[in-house]
Amino acid sequence: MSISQSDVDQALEELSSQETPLFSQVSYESGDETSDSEFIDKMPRSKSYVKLSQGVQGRSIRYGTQMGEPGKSELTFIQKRFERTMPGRLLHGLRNEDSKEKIKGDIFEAISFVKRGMQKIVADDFTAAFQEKKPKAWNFEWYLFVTWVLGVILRYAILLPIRILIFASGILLASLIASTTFIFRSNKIKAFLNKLAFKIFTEGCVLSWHASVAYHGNVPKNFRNTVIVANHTTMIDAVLMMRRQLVSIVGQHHGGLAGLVQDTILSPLEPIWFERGAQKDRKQTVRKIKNHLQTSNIPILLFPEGTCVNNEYCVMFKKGAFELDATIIPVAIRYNKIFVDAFWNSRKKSLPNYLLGVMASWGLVADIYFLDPMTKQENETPIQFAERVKNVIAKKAKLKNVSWDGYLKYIKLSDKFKDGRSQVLGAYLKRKFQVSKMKSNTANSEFDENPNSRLIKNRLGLSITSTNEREKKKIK
Amino acid sequence: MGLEYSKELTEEQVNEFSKSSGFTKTQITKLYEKFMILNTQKNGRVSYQEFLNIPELASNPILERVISIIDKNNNQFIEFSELIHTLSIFVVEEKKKERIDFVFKIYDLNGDGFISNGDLFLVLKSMAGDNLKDIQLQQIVDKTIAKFDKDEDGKLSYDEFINLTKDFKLDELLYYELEI
Repeated sequence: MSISQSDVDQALEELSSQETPLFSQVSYESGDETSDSEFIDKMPRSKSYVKLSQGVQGRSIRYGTQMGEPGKSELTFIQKRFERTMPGRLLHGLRNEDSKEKIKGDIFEAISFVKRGMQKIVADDFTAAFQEKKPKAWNFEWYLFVTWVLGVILRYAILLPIRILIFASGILLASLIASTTFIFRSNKIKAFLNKLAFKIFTEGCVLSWHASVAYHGNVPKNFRNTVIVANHTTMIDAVLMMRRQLVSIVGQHHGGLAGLVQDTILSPLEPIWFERGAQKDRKQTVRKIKNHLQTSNIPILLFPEGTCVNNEYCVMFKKGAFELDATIIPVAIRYNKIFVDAFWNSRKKSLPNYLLGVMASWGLVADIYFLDPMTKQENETPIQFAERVKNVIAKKAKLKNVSWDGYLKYIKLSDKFKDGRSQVLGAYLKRKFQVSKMKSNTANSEFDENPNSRLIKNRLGLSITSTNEREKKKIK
Repeated sequence: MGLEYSKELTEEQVNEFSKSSGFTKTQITKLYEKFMILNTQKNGRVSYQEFLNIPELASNPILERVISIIDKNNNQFIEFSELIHTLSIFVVEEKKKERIDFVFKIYDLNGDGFISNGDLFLVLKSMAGDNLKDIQLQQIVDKTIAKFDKDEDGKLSYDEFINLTKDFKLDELLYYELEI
């Protein structure tokens, strides 16, 4: 049976009314981080820059991080936050599961966890969300195999070199044009040249990946105070968006040539760059974003998942984008995996490898759906709003909706999480056996009458058992 | 027989595992892939820490007990053979008795064939942590044992345990279909 939001809310409320100290601070829903300085941590990363890996010498260009891999302080923050909110998350995560188990037995409640543990060891959503989907091998017959070999030759010997050429010349040409802006003083000419360079850059990229993208939905004309929010699979997402629509991307500013590119080629986007780690800069960036929303007609593009996911799942949306009091336009990006799996597993492949892989395949096929604008309702918290938008996007892009924080993949959870786990069970046992003083409410009185009754909704969102029927039988 | 660490299983090993556990060869191969994913250290056996890398497992209160039972040879690591042996208990319908045994072992901390008051207390304590006072926990344990202890020896024997599990069809609860 599926668990409704009200069940979860009720369970959460009851659990947090316990007198355990840690619990009273746990509030999954309410903002536990609201200061501006932590805004950036929660802020989704957008397209970032390329900085050279350390092996290459002599170049001042630095290219790199994939879509905003979080820094050390951010990870500690995330780890601590996970620790605090884990009980709530446990409940929330369980809501999204199809819980067919029936939990019975007093103290042996733990049994459900045994089964769940065994299931998760073999197949858990979190790992699955970051695994490449394995393509089905189709070359098992000799003639299919020959076809495949021919295809490989065609792709690697002919297509790949051409595409690399296109990619490189696109970047070079764009850089060249952009560098000529220094000759002119007129801002108009500068803007024109930058725009030209930008066009060449994006078209060059798209051509080299042989991206065939279908844009669906209504794109509004007025983008004042609008934020576009999309699911994130690869950095190519941003380029595909840029091509259709000028979008203001938010990312880290780099030095050297990359920084120059950020300043020139990408300037038609009115992007917002920040220096990572500079405390003052965070407030500045937030201000810039808010200012941009008020004054510019270019929407801001944000990826609330914060990390690349494999386009089969949709992980937790960070609430930063949803606290801006802006209109949100959800965009669902779906790649057709027959031609290439666009997922960039940044832990496995470096950026150049990944791009080469894309260029060596037949082509990129994607559907981008612009969905109806959404705004935060009066009675909604930003997290609930984020959840609502997430559901819309996941549904359209046909992704499985899971609640795990994408950044968890960078953290090694320590034994401290035992505390969070045990909190849930501790509170649970307390209720079950009436061992703590609790204010009476309807749920409790039911409980008081029948101490051995199975708590139904007040459990960890696990499924509903036909307790009443059993009790009736007993009485008979 | 132990599994020498290698990235792939040999044909022979697949066959052997398949026979001993009842999984098909494809299932064994796929399970081994999953095992390798868990094994971030890539040394052929999964440690407790590696299980914690999966958030869903990290939030499981009974994880340690489950792992310590899967770990038959008590070397603090789970080898592939141990994993599939345990997994087969849960996904093969007929292994009802084994499932009940498994749960019994979870609660029978000292392995003496009885779930004593102390056993139960310690297991629950490890799961509930400091969120329950010892006195409260003791109350819970006492209540439970009193309820099911038929021969009034202060502990639950295997048979008494079986009786209580029959009540709520424990073996069915634990069984699930493997989708792999």
